[in-house]
Amino acid sequence: MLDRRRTSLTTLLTATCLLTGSLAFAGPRMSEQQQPLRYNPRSLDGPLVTVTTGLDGRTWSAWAYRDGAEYDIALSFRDPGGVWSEPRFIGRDDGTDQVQPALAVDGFGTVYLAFADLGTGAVRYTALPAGGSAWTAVTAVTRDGERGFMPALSIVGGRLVVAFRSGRLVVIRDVPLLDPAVRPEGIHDSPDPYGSSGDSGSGRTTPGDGGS
Amino acid sequence: MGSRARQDLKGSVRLGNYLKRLRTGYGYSLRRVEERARAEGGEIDNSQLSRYEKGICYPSFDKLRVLASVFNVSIQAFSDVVDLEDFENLKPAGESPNAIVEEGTAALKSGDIGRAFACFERALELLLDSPTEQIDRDLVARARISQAAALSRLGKQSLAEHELRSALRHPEGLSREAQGRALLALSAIHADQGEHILSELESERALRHARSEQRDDLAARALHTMGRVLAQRGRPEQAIERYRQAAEVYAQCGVRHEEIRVRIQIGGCYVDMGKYREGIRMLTAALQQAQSGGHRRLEAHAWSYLGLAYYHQDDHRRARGCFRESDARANFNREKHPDILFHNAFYEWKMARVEENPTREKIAFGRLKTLRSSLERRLPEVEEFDAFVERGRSDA
Repeated sequence: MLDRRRTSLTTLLTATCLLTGSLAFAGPRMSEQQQPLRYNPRSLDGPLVTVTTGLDGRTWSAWAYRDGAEYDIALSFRDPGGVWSEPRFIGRDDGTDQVQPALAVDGFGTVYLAFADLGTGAVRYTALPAGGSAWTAVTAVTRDGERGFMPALSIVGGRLVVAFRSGRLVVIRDVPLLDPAVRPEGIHDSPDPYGSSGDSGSGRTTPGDGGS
Repeated sequence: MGSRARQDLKGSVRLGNYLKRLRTGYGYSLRRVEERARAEGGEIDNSQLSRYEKGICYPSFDKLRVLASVFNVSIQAFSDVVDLEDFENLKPAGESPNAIVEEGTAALKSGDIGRAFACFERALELLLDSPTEQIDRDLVARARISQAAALSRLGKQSLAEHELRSALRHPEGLSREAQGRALLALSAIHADQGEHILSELESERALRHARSEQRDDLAARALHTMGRVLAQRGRPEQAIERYRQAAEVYAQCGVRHEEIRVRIQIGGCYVDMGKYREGIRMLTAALQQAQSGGHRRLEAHAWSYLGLAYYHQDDHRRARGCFRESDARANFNREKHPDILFHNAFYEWKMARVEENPTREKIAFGRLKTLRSSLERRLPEVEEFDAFVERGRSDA
């Protein structure tokens, strides 16, 4: 089982690595009508990246937004009714440029945002816990003195995988996912979809048994 | 193939057929697989692959790993295919697919899962051997869904998923009810694998099919599955809402054991939220219902959650008592529920660590290691255990 998980982890890491270039600069996937129009077109100074959370149906968008002489990351979400939220900004008026946003969402609905900080050369990330309203403190993924850009994010095997370019290399790091507000424990069974087994549900018995 | 020729085979005919089915399903020639294997960083020449497909020899683990990448399946799927050879001699001799499917359904209901699997496989062989224009698509789809039920009960999840996907590939030949059941079965597999978004989408589609056909029992199962996904995503309050809706419909339809299952899971959600008194009250009531209905897995499940509630209240003595009651029901005669046994052993292990009792810790850890290999479900406790083992390896 562990071998299988490691194999899929390796495959996904490779895929993440290959996608690094394309994901970070993925162009808008939505039509113009589906974009946060108030900030489009003049103020939308970087390609839009989007991600949808299945749980509350929100579509999150992030882009590099030029505010005077500096770039910040702008974040906005569209609710299932199609209304865009006012953007919130990361790095506003801090005298340095934040660009190249990447987004990912985990199985609990926590949204992760990574971006490159051009001033320090760091790749940083922040997260919005599922059901929460406050983003976590921004944390660097790059090490002291290491310069990174073009981040891409992926959720693999319960970890947040951050891939970014550093010089001519692609660097891959992984960090733990944020704990959801309520950490589920225990066994939740699905029903028996066939309605024929009596006491089995999604819990399996050893071969030869049919449950009671 | 003659018996002499069969004796000369050192590989697995079943595995060979499976590999060939995968290859032809992708439309690959032997040489194309060779190229794809090279692209995956492996070496499998076309004559070698031909020998595997004919069952002349077994691929090594490394070759299987490459083939798994080429065909986008898990390595586990290959070993599952080989395991199923045990049921080969249970295949019925009849030639009527309809009668064989009926025989398989009866075996499934009576709990003879190996026999049921063999019947459905034989029926599918007969059906798919017919000329294309004469294939009874509806019966093929029904046989596949039933085959998935048998495979699922045998713990062969990836093969069950394959059958369900194949059945749903031609929905025009399937009733909406059958589609709903297939979607629910897929949803359960994906929920077990932690694919929450996929599972949620499938259960929502199943609910739409159930409502359009006015199949309340199916609608209740879809609501139940949606509750499960919400619970696994750390949304216990929303999960309780779905579970309550499901319980109400189950009660109206008289699906008693599923109603009890849902009530146990509502109790579990209260435990997740830290509302232990309410959780224990619900679990105790559900336990009594499970006992009176003689549903051993449900009893084991309820005891296990009660143990969890006491564990969180630092009442280790009561928690241990509950886990032992649960173990006794989860490992009864030949029936064994490794997910529940693992869950119980996990908290026994955690309690032993808190109590700094190395003997108990060692015993529980040994049980966890043994049980882990038979688990495909991604329980939170399984993930925590895996992470602990991984850390141990990297620290070593």
